[in-house]
Amino acid sequence: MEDQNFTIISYVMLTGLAIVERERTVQSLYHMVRGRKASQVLQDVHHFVLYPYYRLFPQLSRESWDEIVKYLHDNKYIEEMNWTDHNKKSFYVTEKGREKIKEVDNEHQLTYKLSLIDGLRFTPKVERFRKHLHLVVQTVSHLLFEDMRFSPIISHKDIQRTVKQLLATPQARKAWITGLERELYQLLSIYSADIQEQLFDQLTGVGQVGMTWQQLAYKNNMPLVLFQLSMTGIWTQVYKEVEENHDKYPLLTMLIEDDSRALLSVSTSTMETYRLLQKGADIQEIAVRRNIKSNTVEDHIIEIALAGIPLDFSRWITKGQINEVNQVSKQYETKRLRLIKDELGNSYTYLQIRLALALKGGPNG
Amino acid sequence: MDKNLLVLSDALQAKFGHTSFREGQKEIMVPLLQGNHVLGIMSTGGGKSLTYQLPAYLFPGITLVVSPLISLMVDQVQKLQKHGHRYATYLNSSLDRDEMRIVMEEVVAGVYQLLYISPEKLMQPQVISLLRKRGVSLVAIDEAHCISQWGHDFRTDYLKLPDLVNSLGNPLVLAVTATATAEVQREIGELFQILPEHQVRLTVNRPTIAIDVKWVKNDAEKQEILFSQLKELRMPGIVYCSTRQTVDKLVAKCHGEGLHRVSGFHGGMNPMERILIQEQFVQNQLDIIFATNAFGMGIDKPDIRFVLHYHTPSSMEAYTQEIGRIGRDNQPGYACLYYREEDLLIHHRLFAQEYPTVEEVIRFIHLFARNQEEFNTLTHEQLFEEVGVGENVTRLLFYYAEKAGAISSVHQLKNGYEIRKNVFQPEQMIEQLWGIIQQVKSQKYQKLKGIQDWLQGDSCLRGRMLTYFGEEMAGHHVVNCCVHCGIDPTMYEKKEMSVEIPTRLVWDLKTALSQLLPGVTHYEKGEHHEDNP
Ligand SMILES: [Zn+2]
Repeated sequence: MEDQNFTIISYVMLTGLAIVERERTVQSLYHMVRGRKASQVLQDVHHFVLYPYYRLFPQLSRESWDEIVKYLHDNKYIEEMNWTDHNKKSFYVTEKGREKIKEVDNEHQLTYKLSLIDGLRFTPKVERFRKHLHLVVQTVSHLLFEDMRFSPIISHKDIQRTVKQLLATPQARKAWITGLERELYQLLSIYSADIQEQLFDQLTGVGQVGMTWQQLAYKNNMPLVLFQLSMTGIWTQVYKEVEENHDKYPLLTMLIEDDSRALLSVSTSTMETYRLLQKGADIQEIAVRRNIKSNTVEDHIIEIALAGIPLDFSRWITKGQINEVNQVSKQYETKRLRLIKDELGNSYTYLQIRLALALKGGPNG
Repeated sequence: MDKNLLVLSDALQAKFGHTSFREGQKEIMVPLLQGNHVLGIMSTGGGKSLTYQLPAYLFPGITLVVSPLISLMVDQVQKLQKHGHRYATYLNSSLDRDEMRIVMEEVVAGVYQLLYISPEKLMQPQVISLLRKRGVSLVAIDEAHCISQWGHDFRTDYLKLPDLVNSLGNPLVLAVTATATAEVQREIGELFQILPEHQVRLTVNRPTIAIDVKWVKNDAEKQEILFSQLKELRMPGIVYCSTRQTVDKLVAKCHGEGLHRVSGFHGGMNPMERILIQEQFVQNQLDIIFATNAFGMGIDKPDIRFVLHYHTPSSMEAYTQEIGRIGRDNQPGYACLYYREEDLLIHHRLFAQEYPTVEEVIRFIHLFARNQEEFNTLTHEQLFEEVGVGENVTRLLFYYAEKAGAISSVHQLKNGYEIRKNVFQPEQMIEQLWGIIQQVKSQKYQKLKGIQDWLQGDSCLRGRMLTYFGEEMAGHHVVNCCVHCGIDPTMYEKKEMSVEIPTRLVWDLKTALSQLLPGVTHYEKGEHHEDNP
């Protein structure tokens, strides 16, 4: 089982590497799956459409990553190559590597499983929703059995507080007591019997303590990594189903947090820059006031653009310019700033080019 | 009857619904109510927590409980709430700034009588001043052995506690711990000025637990014995291992061997997984937990029948605490340790990770020695990249650097530390600091040697365990005492074939949901009731 987990995680990485080959270092995928909040990483998520990979394995240690890369090299799935106009090395996926991807995909439906995951725009929200749901189910179950002596399975104080507030009045309690079972039935009956059971087994209430993913992986005779991938996707679907059908799930809808939290997906330092930008400060001013480099401020602006946070970008770049940059990028099939800049005859700054690419790829575009 | 004892008995009945105290409880609480500092040494599960939870109801000011582990605090507060006690909450780094503010406001407003607090929160001046405003009657120090440098679980942040207690306006102190050698007991007594007559020690001897040891040659033999024992022994039980990898490996092997009601538990799991597994174990959904030493503190399960040690723990104290989780219901239980000398090397490795190397000490001192400024900011990044140490080792370095006189104060900042440095000669300072660290480290090795000697001796294990803790073996003979005195293994085997818990035969979503959330039916029942009184 251990070894199986290792090979599967290696193949998942191989599929990700196949997307950034020749354009990035091998290492760049490590920062991606760890979910680093650096501008370059966030930019790459959009450019290469790496949404499933972002923060896919936030706990992956450097040692494990090195082992994975070594394994892929040793098996000749990837080969190192020189990377023009960079000092670093890039790589490409070999024919043998491509064959392997196909083979593994047939066996485990990796592409499909990954396609359901969006680590940047959804997984954090889905995780919060899932925790709220677990706690509300546990609480309502205990209300129904009129036995309020239980230890909450979610220890986050803010979630405990929210659930408490949701059930604060007798009317609210009545609504949840009478309606939760029906809404869960509607929601879960969308799935095949085995998925229904897997989802249900995760719930906790009177007479049942939820199973962990590791336990369910054993029960379903699946390597943990594969189960994680599949469950992350399924919970994302569950979340979207509720989000898109408020009328069908009036109760569960209340467990979805509003999007002002999108702002939280950027670093606090970026938030501070954002606040100043909104007040009309320019890049130089912000750099001086905050005692940071103006490059850093530019990184923040890109991050804001990528996260889809509303801001007037026209003071740096026009619609026409955005189009021009993206046309060049498309024409030469590259996201490499240096090449684009040369092609455009140096009439653009790096900030403009990055912003153009970010606004095109991101939700702001 | 003593007046204070009467007050305590009434409160016990009124607040906790018990009619009698457990051994040692009133011996601790009566002197406390008379206004004395007290030290209580009693085994886990012996009812230690009541000795501050009950007085908290009786004192005018708030009672603080200083506890080293966040999970332990959360656990205790939840347990209290579960039983209808709404007078307690906690303050630790798991709260964000807003939550922290809310809790502090409530504390000052007098909403709580009992506050669990981490040592690091207690070090914040604004927390101290707010607590003074509220008024502190009692400070209970849980796991008090952590203050002792000779203890097996020394924590640097505990060492400031005597000063902090004073700054709270000299409240009463109750130090409690499950394990303390005579030496550690003396040290705690001195630090908190607890008179010998107010030091209450209960024996660590648990006559109902048999102490077995298997001397094994290699890992294969170990696994063989383990799985044959797991098939024989009466459930439920815990198997302790020193590393996460071993936990995962053995759990996987169990599933291969057809043992499915098992699970792993270690620090690498997320909080929700840990809560679920603990709860499954308590509610008998699991038979065996494979765990690192992260598991067990604060667990409320009286019917644990065995504890196996796949690896040797790092000290007698740790071992005693871990087997102490067996049979709190006073039914017979079985402890067995699989001993292999090479396993001790695991601890050597872990100790090495816990303490800095001499090179790291040198780089650390040079990091700020060359600086002329009195105040220096050292970021986490700097410490990681230039010294090469992680956060735990860093804290240790600062602590001992202060002790060695290299710095006079340390403040934790968001991205690092601010230190106030003294004038010193770098080479001398390095030697001094390294000396202190080696001394502390050698304590760890001595503790390890302690358990090694215990395992290698060939006379009664129980007798020598008691000697280690400064006790004498009471005259009477224990049946099924230890591997040297003789154990009848059949005592601890399954009597009947275990009843298989019925698994779901056919999956039906509606049925499953209506068992978990019997919504409509129950609710209608309620309405029915109102209609026809
Ligand atoms: Zn004996």
